[in-house]
Amino acid sequence: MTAIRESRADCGESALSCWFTAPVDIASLAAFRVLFGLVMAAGMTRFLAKGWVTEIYLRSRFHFPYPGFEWVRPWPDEWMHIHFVLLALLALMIAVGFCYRAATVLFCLGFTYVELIDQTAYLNHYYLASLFSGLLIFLPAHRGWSVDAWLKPSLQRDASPACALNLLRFQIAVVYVFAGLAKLNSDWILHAQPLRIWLAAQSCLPLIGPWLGQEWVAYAASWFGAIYDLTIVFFLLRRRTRPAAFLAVVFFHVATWILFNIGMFPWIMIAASTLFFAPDWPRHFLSACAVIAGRLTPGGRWSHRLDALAMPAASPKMIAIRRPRLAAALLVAYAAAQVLVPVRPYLLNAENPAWTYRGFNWAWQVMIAEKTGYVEFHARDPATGWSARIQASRYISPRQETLMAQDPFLIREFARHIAQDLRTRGHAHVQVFADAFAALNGNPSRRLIDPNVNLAGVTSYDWILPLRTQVSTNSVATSRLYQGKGEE
Amino acid sequence: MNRFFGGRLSAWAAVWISFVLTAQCIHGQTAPEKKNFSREAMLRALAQKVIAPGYARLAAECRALANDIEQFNSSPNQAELDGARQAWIAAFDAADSLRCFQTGSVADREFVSTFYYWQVVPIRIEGIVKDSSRTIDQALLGNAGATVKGLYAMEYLLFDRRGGQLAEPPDSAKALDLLSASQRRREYLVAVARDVADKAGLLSGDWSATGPQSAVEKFAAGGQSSVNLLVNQLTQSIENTLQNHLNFALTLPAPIDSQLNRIKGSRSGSSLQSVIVALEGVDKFYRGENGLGLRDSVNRLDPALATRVQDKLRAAIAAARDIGEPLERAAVDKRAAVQNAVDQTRALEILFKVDLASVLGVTITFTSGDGD
Repeated sequence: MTAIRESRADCGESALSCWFTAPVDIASLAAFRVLFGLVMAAGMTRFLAKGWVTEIYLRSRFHFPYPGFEWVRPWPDEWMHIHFVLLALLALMIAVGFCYRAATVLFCLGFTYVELIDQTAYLNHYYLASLFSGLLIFLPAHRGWSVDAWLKPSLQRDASPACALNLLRFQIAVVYVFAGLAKLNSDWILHAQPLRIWLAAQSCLPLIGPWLGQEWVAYAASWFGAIYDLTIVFFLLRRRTRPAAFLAVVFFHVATWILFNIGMFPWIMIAASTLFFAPDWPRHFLSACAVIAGRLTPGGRWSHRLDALAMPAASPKMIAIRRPRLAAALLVAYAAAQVLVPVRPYLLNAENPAWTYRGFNWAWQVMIAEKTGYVEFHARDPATGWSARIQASRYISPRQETLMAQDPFLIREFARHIAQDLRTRGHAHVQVFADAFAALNGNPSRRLIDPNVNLAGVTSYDWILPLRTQVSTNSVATSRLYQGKGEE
Repeated sequence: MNRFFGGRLSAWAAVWISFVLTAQCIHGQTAPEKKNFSREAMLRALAQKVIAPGYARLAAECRALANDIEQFNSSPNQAELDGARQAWIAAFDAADSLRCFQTGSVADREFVSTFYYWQVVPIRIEGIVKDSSRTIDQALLGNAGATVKGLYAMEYLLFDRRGGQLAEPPDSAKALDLLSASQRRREYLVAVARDVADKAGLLSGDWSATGPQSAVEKFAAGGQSSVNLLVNQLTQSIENTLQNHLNFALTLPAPIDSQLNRIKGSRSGSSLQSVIVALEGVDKFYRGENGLGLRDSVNRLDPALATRVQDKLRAAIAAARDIGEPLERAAVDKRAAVQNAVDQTRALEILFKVDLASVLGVTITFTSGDGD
């Protein structure tokens, strides 16, 4: 079997040029397309089956839009469900490579639209899914082992430029490395938090449960998690350490799947780790399957088919990059953005970003915070003397309320929505204040927001109270509470 | 590959084992008392020593109440009425001590309103009492809504104080006179009392049953879901006590006497008692009763918090006791004491909703979704 492997000799240029233009077997890219499509189809189906479309997008009157995306609204009722059904179908189309370009464009837009509806629905792996689907639009993952290539043989290619594969590898590396860097904080390293809390919560599991309540297990898991995130890409890239590294990937993600409620994330990451294998790995895999099929099925029909699929072309056809300079510039810009955006929390905060939420999202701050919050809103109109305690549950769902209470920016956004609503009801000069408390990683609760700041107006930088210099909630007087004459 | 697994993997395993052993050495051995704790044991202890005895007491008190009301029905006089009122207070206490745990069979059997729905509608009760064309029996009660039956319908019929609602007898009309004058009113009271006693008996039976499908075993085997449920229930009870009782009394406009129907337990003068018993109920679940409680679970993770919660619970109960008179009166003449109880209960609420939930990995009111 002759395979197209990435090697300096193939491109005959510098390492950088080789990283960009060397021809590599398209099989790995195609396999990733299949795996990604299947995982996303399963994810969309799961979303529908669990009733989360209603729970997250249809239950509440108010959503937390991203700044600049206030125009993004959920479809009415059953159309939102249809949207998810279509996303599942598009994901399947991506998997089989049918109308691939249209499917990836529509899936990326449709999935990102869903994510933009409500900030409380943000999850790191949804963001990653949006990025992957966006990248797949531009990558030639359908030029091999796809329905498109089968229907239109001229599309068929055996090799793609290495940059296609390396771009996806880079994306995964960004996730792991920044997730590892985020773990290098005192809560994680010195106090094994939040894993102590999360593992202890699983202490009822059979067999491993009693271990999970042990303090040293939390420390071991924390340190292993940080080391794993920071080094796994390096071990996956090295051919000699790759098998053990992949076993570690599977062990790590299956363990997190069993222990924590993190949905599709483990499966996306396991699927994505295959990108670090030799680009022709799917051919070896199919050859092995052909051998097994040959033993199991009489006549060897399936065995021959699998063998034919696995066989590389005698004279491989390579995809040419039409505008290499433009492609290189776009790649560099994308890579720069992917590095700069996760750096934000370290530049914007003197505080723990999990406390202030400044730059916390889109920065791969994965699984580093157990934050619980509680907030009450009080409105008053100084012009009339009117005041009231506002019931958040009149506007948003319990789920949104829980998640909003952790994030000062969502609290402020909601306060502004309350003010807007009250203005339409005759309280022209209304001010809205929040009594917000939060506990981060098992530390005593503290005030999250200055209770004297009118959140409906312009807020200065210090409206979010610092975590470290505050005394705990228990000594905070609550005399300002309940000054309202009633409830809204 | 074989060489890899034969050589390199052993080296990896050795590194990993040393790593784990180092971690164990650095952070020391787990204390012996911590080793004895398990969530299942805690949940079982709470089910067997707090919940089951609580329902057994409720069943006994409701049965005693039904007996006293039957006694009063056969000889309606002040002494028998006083006995029935005392029995009602005892049943009310027993029910309120479990108010912080309105889940399990009480919810499955849809009996929550029987013991906890207090906003009865006098006009409907009076309608049933006056409508002699309808036979008072289980069928009538079965079809009737929560506004005309249950523990609080009995309070309305047994006690003298009224809230001036539509179709209520005037304030001057004594419960004894009304009951003595109307055989049908007494029959209705008896029927409601029997209904409540039967339901309490069923709940007690549920929690005293044994076997893998029993309420105790299901609760104990629930693991983190049961802890979630328990903490959410306790938190909800504290919030309810704070918002709908203590704080609500402070925000009522004067005159409060004409709005007694808006304050739970005010007809029987037990509005403050209701607050104290509810907080003591939370305390009982937190401490455990001659066994493990939620405190033990918190103590393993954050001993300082375990003590803080206990102290704050004591402070809130003490502040409620310091009010010293029913809320409807205290809201007029002891507002500072009520405000103090509000502040203490508020601090307790935040401690449960934020600190305790955080340490136990519990999501308050969170219903679904993934998280990373």
